Parts: sequence; C-alpha cells; structure tokens
Amino acid sequence: MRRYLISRFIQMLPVAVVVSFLVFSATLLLPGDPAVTILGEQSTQAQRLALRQQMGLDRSIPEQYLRWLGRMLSGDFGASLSTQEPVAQMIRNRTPVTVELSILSVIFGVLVGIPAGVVAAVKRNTWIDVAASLTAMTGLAIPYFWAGILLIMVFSVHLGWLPSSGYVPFFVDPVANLKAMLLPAITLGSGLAALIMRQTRTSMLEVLSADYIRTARAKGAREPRVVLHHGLRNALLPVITVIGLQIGTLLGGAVVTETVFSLSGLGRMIVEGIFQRDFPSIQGAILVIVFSILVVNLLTDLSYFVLDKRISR
Amino acid sequence: MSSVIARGPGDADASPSQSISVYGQAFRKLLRHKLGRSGLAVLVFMSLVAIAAPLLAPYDPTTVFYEDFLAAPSWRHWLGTDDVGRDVLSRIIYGAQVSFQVITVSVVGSVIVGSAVGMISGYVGGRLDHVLMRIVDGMLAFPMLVLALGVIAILGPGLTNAMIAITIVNIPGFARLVRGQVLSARNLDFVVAARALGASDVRIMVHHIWPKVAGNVIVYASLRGSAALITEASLAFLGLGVQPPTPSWGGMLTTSMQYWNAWWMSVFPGAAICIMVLALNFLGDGLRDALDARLSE
Repeated sequence: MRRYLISRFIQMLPVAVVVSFLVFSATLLLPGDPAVTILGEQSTQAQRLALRQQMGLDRSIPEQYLRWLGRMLSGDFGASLSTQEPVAQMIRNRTPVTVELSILSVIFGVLVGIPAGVVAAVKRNTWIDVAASLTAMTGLAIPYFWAGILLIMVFSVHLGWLPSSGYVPFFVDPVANLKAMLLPAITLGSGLAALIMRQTRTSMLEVLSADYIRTARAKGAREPRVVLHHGLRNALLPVITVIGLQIGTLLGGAVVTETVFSLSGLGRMIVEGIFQRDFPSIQGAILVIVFSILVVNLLTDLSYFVLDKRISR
Repeated sequence: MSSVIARGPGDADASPSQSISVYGQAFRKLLRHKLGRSGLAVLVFMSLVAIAAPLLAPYDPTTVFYEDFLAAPSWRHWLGTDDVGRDVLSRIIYGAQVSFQVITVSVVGSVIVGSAVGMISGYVGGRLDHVLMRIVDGMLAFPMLVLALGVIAILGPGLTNAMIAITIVNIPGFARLVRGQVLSARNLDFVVAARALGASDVRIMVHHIWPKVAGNVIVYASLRGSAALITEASLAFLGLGVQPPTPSWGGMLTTSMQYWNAWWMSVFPGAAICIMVLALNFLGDGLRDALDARLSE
C-alpha cells in the first residue's frame, strides 16, 4: 500500500510542477508591462515600481518562479490588488462553499444516478430503460447555468419553496444552509447523475451477464439480493472512476453555478478577479482548484487499491 | 478514443481513390445511423438558418421596440422580446452565427495546433516528446472552463479572445490523441518503406501518418464541438465572451436572470444551446460508429 501510494505521488509530481508553472506564467504572458496591465494606465510610476518589486518582475524567470513557488508552498498567496485582503484568507473563506457544493452535488449524482442505472439495466429494453437513457442524454446536454435558471424559475420564483441565492454556513444554521444549497447542488449534480446512470447501467449489464450471477440465481438467491449484493457491489468500481474523473468538471461547473446562485465560492472568486484584474486572487483560486483535482485523482486511484483486491494483490 | 480505427489513405495498400471510398462509405454509414443522421440534419438546418439570418430573422437583432419591453410571445414577436424590447427570435437566429463561428474556429484551430504538437511529439520522441507531454498533462489537469478563464484573464474578455481561449483548452486533447496514434503508426511497414525510399520527415508525417490518424481526429473533433459550444456559452454567460449588443445565447441568459417572470428570455436561448449540444453529441456518436472499422465489421 505504502509503495503504491509513493509511486502514485511521484507520478503526480511532474504534473504538479507543470501546473504551478502554468499558473505562475499567467503574469509573464500579460501583454506589455504586467504592472501597467494589472494596475491600469492611470497608475503612478511609484505604484508600478512597488508592484514590480512585489511580484519580483525585476528578477530572472526561474528565480521569479522559485520565489513564487516558495511563497505558495508556505501559504502566502499575496494580497488582493482590489481589496488588499490576503488571498490566503479569501481562499479560506470561500473554499467551504465550493467544497460543500461539490460534495452535495456528488451526493445528488450518486443518489439519483446509481438507482436509475440499476433500474435501467434490470429493465433493459423497456420503456423505463429508454426513458432513463433519454433523460441522461438530455441531462448531459443542458449547460449548468441553464439548469440553474430553470430551477430558480420553478422552485424559487413560481413555487417559492427554496431561496434563489445567498449562503448560510452549515454550522450557523444547518436547515437554512441545506435549503440554500439544494438547488445549486441539483444544478451541478444533474450532469454527474446522468453520467453515473449511464456508467452504472453499462457496468450492471456486464456484471449481470457474468457466470457467478447465474450461479447465484441457480442457488435460489432472491432477485433483489442478486442485483444489489452480487451485481451492484461488483459494478461500482467503474462508477467510482467516473466520479473521480468528473471532479474536475464539477469544479469547472462550480464557476457558473456559483454565479447563478450568487454563492461566494472559489469559482466566483476567479470571475470577480478577472473583472477587477486581480491576478493574485485569480492565481490563488485556480491553483487551489487544480491541486484539489490532482489530490482527488490520487484518492480515486487509492480507492481502487482498497476496493479491488486484484490491484492490492 | 483508442478504440476507433480508421482505415485511411495512409494504409500501405490504400490508393487515394480507395481512401475517398472509405470516407464515402463512412458517410453512408453515418446516414444510416439514426442518431447521427438526426444530429447532422439538425446541424445542417441550424447552420442554414445562421447563414440566412438576414433573410430569415423577422427583425434586426439590435432593433429596439419601445412599445414592446418584455413582451410575451405573440404573433408580432414569436418568442417575445427582451428587457429593452429586442426580438428574442431574431437574437437567437443571429446568436447561432456566433456559436457556429466559435465552434468552427476553435475546433479547427485546436485540430491544427494539437495535431501538429501530437504528431511532432510522437514522431520525434525522446526528450522533446517528454517535455511536450508533461505540458499537455499539466494543461489537462485544469478543468476546461477554469483554463479558459485563466486565458481570458490574460487576454481580456471578447469574442476573439474567447475563441483563442477555447482553442487553447482543446489543444491538449488533440495532442494526446494524435501522439498515441503516431506512436503506433510510426513503425508500420509503409512508414518504414517511405523512410527507406528517402522521404523527408515532414512528408512522412503529412502524407503517410496523418491520413492514418485523421479518422480519429474527425470523430474527436465532432465530440469536442459540443464542449466548445458549452464553454463559449458559459464565457458569454459570465460576461467574458461575446460583448453586448452582439447577440449570443449565453449572454441572453445572463440578462434573463434579472427578469424571472419573463420566462421566454431564458427558456428559448437555453433550449437553442441544448438542441445544438445534443445534435453535436449525436453527430459525434454517429461518426464514431461509422468510422470504427471494428464496429462496422
């Protein structure tokens, strides 16, 4: 286990280095003088000089990168150019929103996608299967922001059941928090539910045609036990892969979902940063998002190790 | 993607006329594929509507009807009007032009650059391959929209920059795909024979290897079209893509969020995006099945 973990971690390192360099190089790629681009034409010479020194633009590129990386690793993401607030603090404030949104949308995706996939596989080639497949296909084609807008129109504006915006921390008021996060989670989780449904259906069809399932049925096991105990348990591994691979898409989708529902998460921090040309906050938020994805990918690989005895052997 | 095996003109025993017939057969198979055929039909219809927008749109997309602010669908305005009294149907029709422009430019751009990177990386190999593929891996670690936002942060908002951003985020996928195909093709007999006959590296890559990988690239490109459309619509929705007053489906949805009771402002542009994404996905599925030699056999 330890050797596997170390080897996967070593494989991740080059990607992590490239990712950090790509994020760092954003300021190098700014057209013209980065200090003027960031601060604007109206900025004074003294302000530009201070920013150049703060960003280390007067040094060589490898030196700038290493200094920047050192600061990032020590948790110093710099200060926001628009509010002067430490970016690390902004990230700390906004991460819980994005994390909760992602977790709830995965829960929604699993709760809807797995049962729908199992039913579609068991009722193969019936109207239930066709309906589930068509719903999944449509779910994959609906952009997050349109799904969010439609949900707000129905459940917030017309029915008045759920709020359309605002965030209450879970530990302040759990009920208000879940009410506020339900629509965003459904918005972000709908595409994942569709993917999980399709993957579960495919895996279940494969597993249900295996010899040991026939054996279980021949031994008189009841159908629900055959499907859930023997079938689903063995069909879940590819589903976990799909969930792991979709974390990146989810965090990308969180950008628009947070905008639709006015949630102050990491995604919205990037968008606000772009409008305010606040590069430290854009870099900080992107770095945290991409490194989270790398860590989740690592954890997904480790979950195979735990769940699939063939790998751990 | 690796399951797709296209038999193109690069095959040792394939003449140009045979390769044309291979693609001709694939097209006929696509027309027999129900979903692929319907996707193609919808896309052809939408592209004709986009091209003929000045003839088909009932009004100019920027014309303001002062007496018709937020008017519901009616005979005068079939899909209603927006907050400043512009005809929603006309804006959707003109918005299709933007969508097709972005999809075409960004997918073609990423096919050209990504294929070139993948081709050189796979063919040359060694340290260059290692460096290029680590960069590609790094770019693939970013969610598509987040990477696009990073590019927009550097270049600034706007249609051209959105197209550049969408092109850049699609390059790594094509590079990875083509590199993998080149690695398996570069030691095939017809490539070795061409090299033995003194063909230059560029000639081998362009005339012998590229036709071998083109089928897979076409399929992947059709599947990336829908992702490009969603990214463009997302950027426009966030206010970072097409800028007003140019109509774009994503931008129309942003405005709709200020007028929740005017349901037509959000339902119709969103449906347009959804229909085009579905059509692109269906076409991609159809092309994959049509060009997959193993499936066809």
